Amino acid sequence: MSLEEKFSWEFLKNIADALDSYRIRALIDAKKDILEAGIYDESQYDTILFTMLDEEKLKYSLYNFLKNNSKSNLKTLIEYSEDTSIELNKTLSLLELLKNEKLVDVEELFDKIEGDENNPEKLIFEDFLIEVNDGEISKLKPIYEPVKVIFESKNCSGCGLCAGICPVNCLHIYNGFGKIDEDKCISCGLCYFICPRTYLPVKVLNMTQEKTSEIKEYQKVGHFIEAYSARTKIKEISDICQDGGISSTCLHYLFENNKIDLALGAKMSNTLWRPEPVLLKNKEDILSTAGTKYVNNPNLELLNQKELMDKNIAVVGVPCQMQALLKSKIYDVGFPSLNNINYRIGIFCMESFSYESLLKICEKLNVDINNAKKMDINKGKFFVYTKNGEELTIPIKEISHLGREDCEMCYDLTSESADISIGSIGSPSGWNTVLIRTENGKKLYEELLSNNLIESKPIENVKPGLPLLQRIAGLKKNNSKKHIKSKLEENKRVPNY
Amino acid sequence: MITYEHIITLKKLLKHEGISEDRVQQYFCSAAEVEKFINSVKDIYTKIHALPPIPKTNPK
Repeated sequence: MSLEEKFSWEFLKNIADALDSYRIRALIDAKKDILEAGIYDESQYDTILFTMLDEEKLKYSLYNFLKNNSKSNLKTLIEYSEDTSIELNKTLSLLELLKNEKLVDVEELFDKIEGDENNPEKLIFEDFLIEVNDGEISKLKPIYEPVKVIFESKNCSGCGLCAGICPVNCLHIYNGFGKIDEDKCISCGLCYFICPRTYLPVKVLNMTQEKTSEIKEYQKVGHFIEAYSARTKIKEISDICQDGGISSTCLHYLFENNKIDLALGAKMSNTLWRPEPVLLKNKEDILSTAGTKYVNNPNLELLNQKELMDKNIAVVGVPCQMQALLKSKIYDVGFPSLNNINYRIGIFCMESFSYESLLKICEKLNVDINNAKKMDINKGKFFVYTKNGEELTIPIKEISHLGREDCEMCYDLTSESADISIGSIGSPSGWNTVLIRTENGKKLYEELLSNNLIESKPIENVKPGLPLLQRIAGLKKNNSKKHIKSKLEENKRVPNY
Repeated sequence: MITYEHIITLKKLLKHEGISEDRVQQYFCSAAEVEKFINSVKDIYTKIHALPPIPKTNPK
């Protein structure tokens, strides 16, 4: 009973403010519909609701704190984090929420560093200028609309997480396009909250990956601890893998040593070269997913399957999927399947295509898509290797307009939000470039080495190495900025990075 | 029916926050059901009486 003696006015007001928030009200009002849809049972619903309530309380506690100061900056946030024992990156993520709900105005101030011949002029983040918007909290229009607005404005990355957590299963991503069943939709706003293209606090993602409380600049490939060039030693994988087979080897190790129960990946569906999301249950299943498919595949759609609740999961996916998973970790969403994703294995991705675009590419190369044995993007060209041993190529420049328009918004080539990032750029043929980003990824890689499953060399010892990877990553970042700028000039919606 | 569901959620919320959920009760009865009404009032009185008081706080 001593807990009841600790009540203060702020404590009760905090709860009242949080209950007033759009997301909480929407979730409570939709309880009957959610339980009827059968994806979450009552105790899972309660966990989701109360985790969300705790997040909203933290958010409003920050809001009320900022309201007391007329203008705040980074220093105020650091003091607030210390006073309330919250980490700075969590505080910044809450600030991002408040900014997107238009409860506060945040201006970022930059220091300009003059350029010279060798280094271009750079803007370094310096400080925030934060001002609170006065007004009744519940009267401000909430912005948690269903992600239909992301589909229609061509911002959708095709990661599939919205479909994976929707409590009434009304979202579906197919062939790179998203669809919503508006009759079933309960407007709870969870899809908007979790989507990596509505708003994505990139600074907070980087701070979380590096486990630092400093706001820093990162090189073009994001934060990483170590970088290697590696290839698998497992024969079944090296026979069918795209380059070095490292992502398949990671899953092989994790399954064999019972570190995970299930994994999410992409396998060829009945239509060749159109992939579909697949749940891998053991190491034999891995062989069906080896090899890169260039058509968009929303793996994360499978997260609402009942068999994933309470199991340890690894996800192999593209950068946008890694961003979505890390965002949901930072914002602490309480979904049973999201909490158990222990390994984020990211692959490099420049852009994805729809199946129809892939057919057009094969048409240009005069090849039947069902005759293709392997596809590759390398050295600025798109390769198709046929079953009868032919090698056909076309320069990327001639087909990049066929890529998904939404992929142009993405800044991330090397899966900066993953535990371990794997790709082919930078390593010689038959090898993978591996960037280890977190302690989790480092432990996994060390186990692969000590179990003699891979051979590995430091990336400095290979050609073309990191410089090429950084150059191409920089290209993607510049393209993304260019596309976002031109969309803004046309008054169209863009992701909030 | 909405109020009924909301009160159930409220009780869970109070428990989550560390406030005793017995402080909120709901009874479904009409003023014509005299005995049931009396018993409900007695019930909530005994429950609240058994709990310690929430300390007075100064509103800002």
